[in-house]
Amino acid sequence: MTADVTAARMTESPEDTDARVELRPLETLMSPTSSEPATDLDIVDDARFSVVPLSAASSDTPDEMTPIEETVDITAGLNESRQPQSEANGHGAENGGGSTPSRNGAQFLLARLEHQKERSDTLPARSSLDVQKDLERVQQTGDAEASTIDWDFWGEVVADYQTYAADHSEQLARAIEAGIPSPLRGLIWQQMCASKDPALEQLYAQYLKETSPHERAIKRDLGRTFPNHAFFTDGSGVGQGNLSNVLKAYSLHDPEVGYCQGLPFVVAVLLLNMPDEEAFCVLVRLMYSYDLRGHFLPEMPSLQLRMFQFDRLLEELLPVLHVHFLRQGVKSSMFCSQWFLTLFSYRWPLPIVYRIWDNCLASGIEAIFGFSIALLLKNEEALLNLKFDQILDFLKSKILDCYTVKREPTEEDPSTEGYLVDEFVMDAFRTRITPFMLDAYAREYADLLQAREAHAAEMDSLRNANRSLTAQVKKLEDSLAQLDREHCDIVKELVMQRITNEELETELVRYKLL
Amino acid sequence: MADAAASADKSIQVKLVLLGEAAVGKSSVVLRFVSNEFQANKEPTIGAAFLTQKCRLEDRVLRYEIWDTAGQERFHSLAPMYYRNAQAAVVVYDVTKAASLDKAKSWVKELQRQANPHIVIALAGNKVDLVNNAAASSSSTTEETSEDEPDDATATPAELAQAASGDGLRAVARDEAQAYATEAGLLFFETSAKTGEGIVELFTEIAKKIPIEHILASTRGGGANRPGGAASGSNAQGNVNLDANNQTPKNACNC
Repeated sequence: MTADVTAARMTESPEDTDARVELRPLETLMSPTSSEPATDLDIVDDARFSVVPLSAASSDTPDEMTPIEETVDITAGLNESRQPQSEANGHGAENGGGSTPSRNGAQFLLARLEHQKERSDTLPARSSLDVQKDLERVQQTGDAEASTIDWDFWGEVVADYQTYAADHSEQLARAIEAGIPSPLRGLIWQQMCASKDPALEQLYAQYLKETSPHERAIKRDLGRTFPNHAFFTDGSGVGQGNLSNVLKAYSLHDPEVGYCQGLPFVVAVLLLNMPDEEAFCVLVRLMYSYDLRGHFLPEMPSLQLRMFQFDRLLEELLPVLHVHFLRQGVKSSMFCSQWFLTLFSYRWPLPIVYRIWDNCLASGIEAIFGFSIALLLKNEEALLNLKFDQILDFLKSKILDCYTVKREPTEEDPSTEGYLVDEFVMDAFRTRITPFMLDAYAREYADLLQAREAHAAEMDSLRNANRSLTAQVKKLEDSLAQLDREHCDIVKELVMQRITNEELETELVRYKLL
Repeated sequence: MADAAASADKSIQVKLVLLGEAAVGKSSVVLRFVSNEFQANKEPTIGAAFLTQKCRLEDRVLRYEIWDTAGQERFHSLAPMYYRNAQAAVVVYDVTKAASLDKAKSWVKELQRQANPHIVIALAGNKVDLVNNAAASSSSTTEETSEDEPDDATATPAELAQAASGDGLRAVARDEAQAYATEAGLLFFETSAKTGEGIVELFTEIAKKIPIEHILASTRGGGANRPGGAASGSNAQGNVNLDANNQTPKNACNC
């Protein structure tokens, strides 16, 4: 991500107003590529800066953004060559590449190449021979979709994603928006997040031999992940086996996260597109470089942050709906936690999930906001007429209806529903979410947390003060009681003395009289 | 959420929350109650799910607004939001997993400490179908209720006939859980979301124990004007008629 920022700075100076417009497609391509993001302060600092696609382009270039109506079957996306359980692919790859070259291309190229040089030192680059082999294998499967893929274009992309992203960013951005051809999806995802790492794969093999304290919890959820997907229904099949392996390995790799419900859905989506050791590497990259990890840590700090950001976005971009939700008592955590924790893979149709992931992997996890907001925007009118429970029900089961079309089932694909995925992706890009907004909200949230902490600390110290004061009061009361008792004794003694005195006096008087 | 009450006509809102360890069958219990269905491999609940079900109790219509929460410890921090205003809670454990009762106990403790002080808590030992034939049960139950339910059409015979899966040995004796429930002042049931056993009884007894006048008073105060308890004729379909099972209170304890 350091490269993104460099690039962004470079463009801002020549054309201040246009910079945001031009930035979008390029930024979407720059994936977090550092191998050690957690230790690199620069990256941590800049993570929020440039990963979300700027969307101003939509208004300036309506022609380019015209949605391509494309219907995709529910089961699309299985990688024929890599997964034996694959099903028919109806996923077209009509858009082999855009045409308008970016005006800032040269600048980005320079920034990118520089970054590339740094990278090649830290990570062993994937040999082009390997890639070539993968590509050939995919090509040879000769399924229906393979013939429609622009092999020249995607071949170049796969061969060296980072370089291609730098050279032909605009083109690649357009192509990713239009969807990665499903046989290539697994390969490209790995390239996008630069996950290929033989050392990590070796570590994975090592983990499989060890035992994890989370194995029971993992096993419990295996049959409950995509229970209706053929690849995962068989309790002793490859699907559940791989799912178990990757989850177990991850729980050993990252004991702090260990195992968390929601994670199997993320892993399952990966496994539907690549073999298990590669899925493990991508998972590690997603967790650490894309900060998915904070979603699954105890207390789920990043999830809380994202829900806060989402609330603020809602307030900013859909103020009427925001107020409606407030009045109805609908909190974003009631529906968002599912979306965000599983990156929309929880009960959503895979063709849509894959396209969201394409964009998340290309441009950063913040892409989820675009999709969430676009969805609410599209359904705003319907939602405004609903009450609390209806809203939640709608969000759970009808929210995607607006992008669903009925269609005639074909022979190879019996499903009767297709999805206007392209339209959805375009709508997501049209939302006016900028990194600057997200940044500001993140700061607000940090302030809020700080205030909350300060408040809690104050409460704590007050409580402590109160406790010690109470103790003091008790002590004083005790000594007061003691004094009271002593006082009583003294008074009693005094009275006795007086009595004695009086007696003595009367005695004296009597003697005097005598 | 005050406004939400207005969405249902002429029924009494009862907010209910389900708590318990992961994979004890919370969502399945709700699904059985709400749509009389059972799914063998249900996805784990992520975050929480909201469902509603109307039921009739004597001359009143109750509308359960149910928050079904995620069971894994990691999601614990989200739970207070859901039980804060609840009038009833069902704490579920798995009769084949002893540790799940411990977790249930800690939920009960948390509820008694932090939830609404008038909350009605029910303890439900789920998955009793797995042990019904096993001898381990000290006082094995004879409830067989799924046939009595008014709208049984959705439960397929195949689901009901599905053989119990392997690890079916009882790990929590009924007496032990019952004793704990009595001591802690909870309603207690053994249930099976799979066969439907005990589910309707569970929600019926909760309904009986809910301080309805109290709720009516509070909702009226909240601005939602609803003539309390007027029996409406519009709840013909999909509702559970709690009275249907009332003739057989069976093992229902301290209510």
